[in-house]
Amino acid sequence: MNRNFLLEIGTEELPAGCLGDASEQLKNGLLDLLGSKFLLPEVLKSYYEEICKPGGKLLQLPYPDELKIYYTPRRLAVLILNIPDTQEDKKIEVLGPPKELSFNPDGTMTQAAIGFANSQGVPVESIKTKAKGKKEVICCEKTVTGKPTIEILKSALPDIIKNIKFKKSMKWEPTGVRFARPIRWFVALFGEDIIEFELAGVKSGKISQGLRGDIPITIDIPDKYEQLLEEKGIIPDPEKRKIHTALYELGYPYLDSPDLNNIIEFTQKEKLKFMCSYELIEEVTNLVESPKVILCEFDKKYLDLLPPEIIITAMQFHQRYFTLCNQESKLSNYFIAVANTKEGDVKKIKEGYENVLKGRLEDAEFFYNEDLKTPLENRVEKLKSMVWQAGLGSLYDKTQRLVILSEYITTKYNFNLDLPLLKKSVALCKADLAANMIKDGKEFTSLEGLYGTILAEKQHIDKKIVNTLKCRFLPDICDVQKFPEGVLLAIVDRLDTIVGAFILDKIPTGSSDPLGIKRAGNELIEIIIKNKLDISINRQLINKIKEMYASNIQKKDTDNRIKESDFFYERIKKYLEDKRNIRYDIIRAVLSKGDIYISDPAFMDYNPFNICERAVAFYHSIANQEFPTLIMLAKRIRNILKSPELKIQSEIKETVLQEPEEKELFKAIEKKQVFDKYVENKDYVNALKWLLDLAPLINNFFDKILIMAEDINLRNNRLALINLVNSSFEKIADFSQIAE
Amino acid sequence: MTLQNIIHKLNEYWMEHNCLIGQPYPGEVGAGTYNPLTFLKVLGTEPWNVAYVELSKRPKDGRYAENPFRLQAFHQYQVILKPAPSNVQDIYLKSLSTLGINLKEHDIRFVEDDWESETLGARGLGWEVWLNGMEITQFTYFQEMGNIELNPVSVEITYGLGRIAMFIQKKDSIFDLEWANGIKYGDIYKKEEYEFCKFNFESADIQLGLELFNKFESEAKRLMEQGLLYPGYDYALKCSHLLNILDSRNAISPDERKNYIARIRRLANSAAKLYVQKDKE
Repeated sequence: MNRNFLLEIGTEELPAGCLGDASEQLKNGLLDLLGSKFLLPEVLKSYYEEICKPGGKLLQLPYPDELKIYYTPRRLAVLILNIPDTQEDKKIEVLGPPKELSFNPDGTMTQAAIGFANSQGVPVESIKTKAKGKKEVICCEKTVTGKPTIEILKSALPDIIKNIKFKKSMKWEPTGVRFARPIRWFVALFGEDIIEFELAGVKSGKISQGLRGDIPITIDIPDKYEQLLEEKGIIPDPEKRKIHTALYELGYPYLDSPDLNNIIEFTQKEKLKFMCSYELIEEVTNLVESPKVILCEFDKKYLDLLPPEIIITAMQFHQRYFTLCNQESKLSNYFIAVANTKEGDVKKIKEGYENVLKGRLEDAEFFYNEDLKTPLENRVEKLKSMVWQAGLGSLYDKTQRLVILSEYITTKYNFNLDLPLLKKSVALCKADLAANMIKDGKEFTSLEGLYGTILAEKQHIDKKIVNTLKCRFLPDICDVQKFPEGVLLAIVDRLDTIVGAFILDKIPTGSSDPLGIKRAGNELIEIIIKNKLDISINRQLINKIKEMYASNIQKKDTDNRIKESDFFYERIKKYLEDKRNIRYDIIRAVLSKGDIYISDPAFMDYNPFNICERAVAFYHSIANQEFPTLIMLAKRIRNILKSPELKIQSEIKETVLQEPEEKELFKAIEKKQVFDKYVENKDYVNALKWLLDLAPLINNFFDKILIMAEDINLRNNRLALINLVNSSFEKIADFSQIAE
Repeated sequence: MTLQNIIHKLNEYWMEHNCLIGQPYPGEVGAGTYNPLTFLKVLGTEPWNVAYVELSKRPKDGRYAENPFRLQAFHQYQVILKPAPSNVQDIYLKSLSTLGINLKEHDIRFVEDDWESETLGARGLGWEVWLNGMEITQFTYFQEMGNIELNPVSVEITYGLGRIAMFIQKKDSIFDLEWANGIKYGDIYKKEEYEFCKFNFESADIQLGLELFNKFESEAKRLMEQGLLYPGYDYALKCSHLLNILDSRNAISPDERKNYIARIRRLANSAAKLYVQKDKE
């Protein structure tokens, strides 16, 4: 017989950001238990196998119908249907003492053997012998009766709950259990039976809690959980709740709610739409368990008094309101807020929301008007006393480094740009950090960078400088044709931060990235590639930046060279994967550091634009019918040339060539300067095409020619020929990385 | 309900919940947490339940009495429950009911807000409580105080009295609140608020502040070395307030500020250690 299972962990309000991850861990913990105890329902087996694969637990697979996960700020719950009532009985073999100790010379059993049979509860007659390694032992077969599932759950659930890990956890009671917030109840049911356990001073039962002030909810059978909660106004299914929270962005009618339909009707009439991120919708969904959507407004005058970005921040950052905009994407003075209430008084709540926003807008106005009084350039001096990162000098020091680095790159790559303009912009690029709004403005600190340009514009600073400043924090507008100075500023700022993080050993690991250099790195690569900039990220550049840091830091540099190299490798890889959809094997091939890497793992020389061009050329060549042959041949050549003594770079002597196939290949490769020209011009599509055309000739060569000929002259000449072919391949990629 | 009624009701409510009704600290503090009734008493193992009004001084938050919410000195109602009862959220919500706030009518929410004080070497996890989007209370399970891990864990509930009263009395400005019948908050505090803003932002003698900080710091150390915990801690609190004034006078760079905070934290840590040591004896 099968039964349904429900576990609900009832808590005080959990942080919105941890709900999804915690419920995944809970679900995986339960499936691991059922899997290891042979209790998985049939339909869940393939799902479970999938998530058990390496990396599988990170996949967002759709849940099978037998599995439901629920969460709200006050509960994490998992429902699993059709779990067997008991484990199946199992036959197992038990090994006993060695054979020579088990039998007397006359063949009768010794005390040791009889003792073994008794201890296993089997008749002595059933004892057999068996080989164990080189020895023989006695053994018996016995049937292990399957345990009742409820017993297994009872002893395992506390650990599964305790093993849920949070970024931040706390203690609140004497047993010292850690969780994100205090646990206050458990509903644990197997069929209609309570799975009894106790954790953190809380005993499991079948009583769940409704909204605050409501009576408790008795859950009598697991599969009625969702329905029982919904009857009390709680939507435990996060996906369903999201639709109610965001009205799915003012789309469809909500049959049972005239209030909601009025909001939808109004916004459609006024042509208002959502202007907020998906993350905010997700967060708001996880801040409520009984969403009530309320349309609010603020005084229109603020649209004139404050820049829209500041108003949006006031609404979204702390209050988590959904901002609305009109058809031309201009900010509206209407907004949407989501309450957590079933029977609340909408009018009163609305008034409260509007008042709070008003207070924040007034505070912003205070800062803004104060800040406008001081010219931005007058704030630069202040940066000298403001630490950028402890141990890496002041903000002013950073701008000084950026000036030097800008000059260095401009000269080295001969960029055509207005250097004085760039220098003026660099000097101002951190000045807003000294303004009141950013220094003391609490939620408004997130406007760093942008705020500087707002002030600059208002203070009529040269438009070109404003645009240059904007590029620094808006990678999307970085266009070297329009704003070459801005593009360079965006690049040097990120490079400086990344190198700084490595100097401080603040290197990203898993989820921690104290200086946010992963994002900075991703943006850096994208800016370089998008603008087709011929900039190489190599040891020389990194060392140059470290030199610039030298006067700002006391710390002795630890050797992070390998990590630095890996860091940039990963950033380029991610770009090619995410933005260009390049196959993983091609990415490996074009990013390969080849043999140099083996002798020096810290070797680093990435030209992101160049790498990307080669990857894209591959992408376009895969369809060519010679492609598989070319890959196969390239691998073959590479295998042959593995031994260093076969790497013969000598000139090919035409007179030594004997067979037609080698003569033909030589004739073709003689025109290699065409290929070299393509490579020089970064026309990798044609370079690859040239190699693809060569493929049949190489193929014939391998078919007909014995490379390792007896005659040393003949052999070396042929080796030199394939070495030359190989060196052409290596100019494009490490072909051996590509799947055939 | 006047503000003094609100305080009275809260006193009554928490007295019923076995709290001692404490008194504000006689010197300047940045929050009710600095009061020894909280800072010291949450250390050690003895149960402790206390409630009191605190006048918290945050010089930098002043707005010359022009902003309806922001003040350089504001009234908090502070509750400490040690150990934290398992139904503490409900107890708190009930206290709002006794103030006449109908819980079902409004959107009351516990929104993640972990608390940390570098100055006190303290941290905790908890929420800010929202009443229709307005933060009215800070609710924290203390985990560490004076860099000492706490066992048992105390819960701290800090009501923003002004905010709550503005809600109850439906006032848009804190200065319009009825403190007592016929006496407004502004009548009592508006001039004081303005003058202290002048002092904090413009007039406070920077040189004197810097000198006093050093002298008070030495005094705190000297006193605690003699085992005089409370006078020593009192001087540490004086340092903390001086730092806030110097900060609002823009007299110290952010870098220096960090150093000053670390110096106060060392004093707070010594006080906490001394308390635990005396507690054991």
